[in-house]
Amino acid sequence: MKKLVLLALLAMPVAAQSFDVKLLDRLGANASNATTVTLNKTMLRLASNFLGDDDDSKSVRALVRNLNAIYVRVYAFNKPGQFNEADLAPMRAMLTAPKWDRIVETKSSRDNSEVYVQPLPNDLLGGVAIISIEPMEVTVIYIDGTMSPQDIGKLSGTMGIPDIKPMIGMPRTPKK
Amino acid sequence: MAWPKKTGSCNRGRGCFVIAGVGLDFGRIVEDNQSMVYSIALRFLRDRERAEDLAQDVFLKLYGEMGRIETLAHATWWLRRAICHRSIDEIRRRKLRPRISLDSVPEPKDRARTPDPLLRDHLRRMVEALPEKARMVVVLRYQEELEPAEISEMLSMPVSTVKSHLHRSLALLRGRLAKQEVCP
Amino acid sequence: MSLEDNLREALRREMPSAGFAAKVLARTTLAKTPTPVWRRPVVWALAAGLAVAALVPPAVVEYRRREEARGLEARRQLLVALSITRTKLLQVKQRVQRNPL
Repeated sequence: MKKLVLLALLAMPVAAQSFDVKLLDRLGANASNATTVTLNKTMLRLASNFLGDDDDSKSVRALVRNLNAIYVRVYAFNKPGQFNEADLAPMRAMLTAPKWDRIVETKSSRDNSEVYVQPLPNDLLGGVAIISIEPMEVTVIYIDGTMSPQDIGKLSGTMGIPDIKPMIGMPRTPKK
Repeated sequence: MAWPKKTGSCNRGRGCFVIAGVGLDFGRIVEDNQSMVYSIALRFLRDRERAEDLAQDVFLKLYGEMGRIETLAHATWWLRRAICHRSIDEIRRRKLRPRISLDSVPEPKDRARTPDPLLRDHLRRMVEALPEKARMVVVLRYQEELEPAEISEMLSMPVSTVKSHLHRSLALLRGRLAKQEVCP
Repeated sequence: MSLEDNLREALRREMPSAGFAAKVLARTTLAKTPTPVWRRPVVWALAAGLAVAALVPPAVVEYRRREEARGLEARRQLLVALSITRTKLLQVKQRVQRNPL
């Protein structure tokens, strides 16, 4: 029995490093509006093929080139408290793995936000995860794959996202 | 359609059923089958040069397929089937209709009642004047000694159709010969 | 002799001209190593060409239309995902600036 417990404990960190994205869908069980994006590598490549040749499109293509997947879940609710935060547990478990750093955590009476990155050598990132919880909306974003903060920065002001690099330099908040 | 693993077509008594894919000598396959392939083409195209060209093409095609050929008997079966279909295709492609009808086949001058070169040539020309399918059935039956069931497989046609072609062709030939009084 | 025997006699196999086998073997040396038909690039190209020629009107056009629709949908989803990510990061940035650590 002791051996079994030991084996289970040893297995936990491995299991915690990945999670089934489908589990996130439970969050939206009572949602009045849902926006979900699930793009695997194949779909990302396909999407890249349909981007144009202008500078904005080139920036997006550069960002997407080495990504494995992008998952986005945005659930809006009619009333506060219509989702169960425990449904985020599998994702949080993955983000407790040592390879993830929480670079931002904001908490207020109205909303909570967390941004996680997976630092790699040579200033690269192995993934980005964002959890944003508001009274009537919950957003989960998980970008899996190698990307450079410069590539992300290039998207700022275009169709993409702002420069994440300054955030990486922010003081880290301790994981709970 | 699967090729027959054992047939009576390999009648030379040597090396028909060697172990699959091992030791198949392409030169020997050519040597053993050249008369069969050439003769079928010749009966159809009625032109020795073109028959040789077509036969060569079929052997070369077989050469490209050697990886899939299991035995010498398989090679013979493949070649026979290939030359039959290629001959029919060729004659259709070139719109080679019989240049002669049965009625136009000249009667032999020598009406001897025993086999002789003139009767042989006369019969050949009569066979060559048969419609395509019937001609191929007669050639496979009397040149290649195939049974109607084997011809049926070879040409992908029902056995009843094969028998019908044979019956009608023989009746036609017999009638024509009787009319010309060259055959008993 | 019966008609059938006469036919067998008349349709007896004939040999091609002397040197036929040598000619075939000579041509095989030009063809080099026999490779299965399905592994030859030219056959693939020919098959692809024939397939395209035969199927372009209905099937390929339909396939391209679907692929294009899939691609455009994937592109739309990608841009939505990046846009949401951008918005959320901007929000987080503003919250941090509002409440510096």
